[in-house]
Amino acid sequence: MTDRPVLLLVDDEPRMLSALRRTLRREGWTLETASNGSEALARMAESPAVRVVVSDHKMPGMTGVEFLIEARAQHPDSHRILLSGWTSEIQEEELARAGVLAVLAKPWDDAELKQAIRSAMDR
Amino acid sequence: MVERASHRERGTQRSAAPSSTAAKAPSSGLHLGVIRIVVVNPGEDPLGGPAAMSVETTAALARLGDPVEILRAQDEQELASLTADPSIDLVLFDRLDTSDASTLLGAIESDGPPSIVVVDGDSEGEALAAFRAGASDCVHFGPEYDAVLPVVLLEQVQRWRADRQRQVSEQHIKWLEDLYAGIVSEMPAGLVVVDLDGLIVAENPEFERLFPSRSDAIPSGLPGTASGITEFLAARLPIEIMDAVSRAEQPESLATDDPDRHIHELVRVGEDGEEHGELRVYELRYRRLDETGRALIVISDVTEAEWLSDRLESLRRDTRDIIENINSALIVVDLAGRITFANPAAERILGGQDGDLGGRQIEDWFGPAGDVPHPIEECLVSGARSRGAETLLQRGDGQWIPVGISCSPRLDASGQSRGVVAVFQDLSEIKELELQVRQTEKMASIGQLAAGVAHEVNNPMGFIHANLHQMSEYLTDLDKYFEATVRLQQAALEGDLEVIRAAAEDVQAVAREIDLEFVRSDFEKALLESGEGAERIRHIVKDLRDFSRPDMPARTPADVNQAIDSTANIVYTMMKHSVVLEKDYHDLPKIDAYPMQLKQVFMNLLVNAHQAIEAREEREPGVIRIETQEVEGEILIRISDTGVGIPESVRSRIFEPFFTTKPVGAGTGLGLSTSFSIIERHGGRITVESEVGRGTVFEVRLPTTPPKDDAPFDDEAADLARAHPTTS
Repeated sequence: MTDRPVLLLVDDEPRMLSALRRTLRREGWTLETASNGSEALARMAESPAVRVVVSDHKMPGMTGVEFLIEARAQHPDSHRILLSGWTSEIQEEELARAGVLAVLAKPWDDAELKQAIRSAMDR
Repeated sequence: MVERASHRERGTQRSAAPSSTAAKAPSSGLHLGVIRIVVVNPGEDPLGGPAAMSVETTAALARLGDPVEILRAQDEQELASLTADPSIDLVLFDRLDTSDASTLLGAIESDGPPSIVVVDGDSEGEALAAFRAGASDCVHFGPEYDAVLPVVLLEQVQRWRADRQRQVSEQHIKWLEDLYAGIVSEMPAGLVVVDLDGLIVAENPEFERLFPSRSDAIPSGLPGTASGITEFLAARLPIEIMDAVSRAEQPESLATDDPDRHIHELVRVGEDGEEHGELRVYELRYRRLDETGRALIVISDVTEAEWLSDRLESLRRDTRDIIENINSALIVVDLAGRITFANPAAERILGGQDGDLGGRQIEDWFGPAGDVPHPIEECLVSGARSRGAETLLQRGDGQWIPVGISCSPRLDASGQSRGVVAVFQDLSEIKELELQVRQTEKMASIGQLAAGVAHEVNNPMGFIHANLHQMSEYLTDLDKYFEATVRLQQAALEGDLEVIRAAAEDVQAVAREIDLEFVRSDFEKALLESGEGAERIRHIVKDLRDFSRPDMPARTPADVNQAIDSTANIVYTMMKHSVVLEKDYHDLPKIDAYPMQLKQVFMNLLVNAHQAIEAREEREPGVIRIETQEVEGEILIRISDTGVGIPESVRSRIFEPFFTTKPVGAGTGLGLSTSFSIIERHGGRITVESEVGRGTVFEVRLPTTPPKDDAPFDDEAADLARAHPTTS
């Protein structure tokens, strides 16, 4: 169990986290959740290291992109994916700064989501 | 002359001399006209007046040949006053006592008329005394009296008149000389007289001032005192003026049919630099005075006048160019409301050409006063300026168009109004554009709203979608378990214990494989959560339906709390991450209104509040508070936020159409202006208070009994055609 890579799911909507857990429970990753950016950064400061972060954008406090920019600065080894229904207002330049590997829209396609996380895990 | 004629008539009547005796006059061939004589003789008539003249004197005067006017004096005072009149020709003392004659002679001023004393007989003593007392001559009352007296009298009168004439002429000449000297000296023009050789004969002080002498030793002077001036004109005048003078001296340059033989031209001296001081303009007049070749030259410095006249001309030209070419129509209206001037732009709108609008009444285009605002009429009546008022005007082709108009009274020097200058513009195109932009604004806010709603629906849709997918997998797992239990059931019916055991173990294995416990409980959880998501979507759709119920074509009773709450619920979906929404609603009476339009206002205010909160540096959620209550017959809706606030400098302009502080493309600048119009149409008002860094409070007040005049439903064209108020 301990050597399974850690996937951190960040969303302010508990039902969303619940559905994501359900979808990804059998992929062989350790699933952890946080309901906002600062909570997620606190988790990332602990061990074991978070390998991949999947984050919503619209959240109270810092936005998903702001969180991912900070996450990249503090944990360059982590990989980042944005999952949001509100992607049109995010600027390309910010996405680049956050080093986001994939931007996925809600509602997502299960296979697409799993594939994106898998390829992030393999990097 | 006419006066003299009347004297003659009177004199003839009063004269005791019959006209028949005039023929025997000792004529000198010279007629003197009416001779005015004061006669003094002794004695009184019974009424206290002077006694009648003696028959002899009367006869003698009748022989003069000229009409005579006799005036009488009895004492010194009368005599002094009569002889002060310069038209009195002579005083005749007719045989008075010597002492009386001497006394009376003293009453005549030394420069008064001559006097003749008639003495009795050959009394040399009396005559001597008379001469001593100042008499001009003496005549003896003897046999030749009636022949001698006229001769002596005429001689005295002629001499007196000649003396007087010379005196008057001398005075006149003196006066003319003084006048001439005064004019020459004080004239604001340089005068100079030159001879044929160009030597200055005379000059006046102004000439000296304009063109000072080159040598201090040479005095300047007035005509007559010009001795010693030996300067030549060429030494004093600038070359340009000298050239003009030389041209003037050419005989052919003097028009032969000009009896005065003079020349008048403007001469420019110096360079035309930036400052008009460098270039001077002189007005030169040249007149040949006499055959000796002397000429009078008059030179005035008219630089300032020329400069002013140039400026005036260019100003006039510029003004005309501007008035002719501006796109704004400009008309001048007199006090009777008649057009006295219209520029081409005005003619295009009013339908006239080449000034044929002049004299027509402005009522021909502007509706009768009372129906629509009438700024020109108001300006004529009140004399007050107005700026940018909007009204309607019937164009030359009969079509009514909206115009923006500014009026100023035309005041004369004493401040009395002479009429009005009005400048106006056709606003049709602007109104059309404004309408289009308002439509765009509406679409933009609908788009914003749709995006917010889509996002809000997206979230539950996202997890419902995922859950559905997962539940179908759970179902596949449960199918496996179900098949294993069916096999166990069959084995049990067959009764082979080994087979039963194996089937039971298989059921257990499948349960383990599919994590039956988890699947069972999570299936239920997924179902519950999906149900919850579906419920949330149902709510959003209901809010949307509540919010978007279209207005009826007339006012309908509206629940303002419901209107603002449904709006808040919709708008909140897109701001819930950064905003805490507080609601404090109180019971309100229903009012007749257009609920959809009110919702548009509330949406504008809530979206602005949200943007003000988003614009802050802090990441903590801001607060938007909505309060409703009934206050003194009005419904008060207060929407406050803890956003960045509105700077004082722009606060007065936020209700103006097209005013926006947002970046280009982010706002049309019509949200608050549209809100203002809508609230005004409901008979209410909208106010703002704000503090930079603290937040903003908008207050909307709506009367519980709305105005009767009903504006057409959602007809923004009609709304825009009305005068559009702006806060200022």
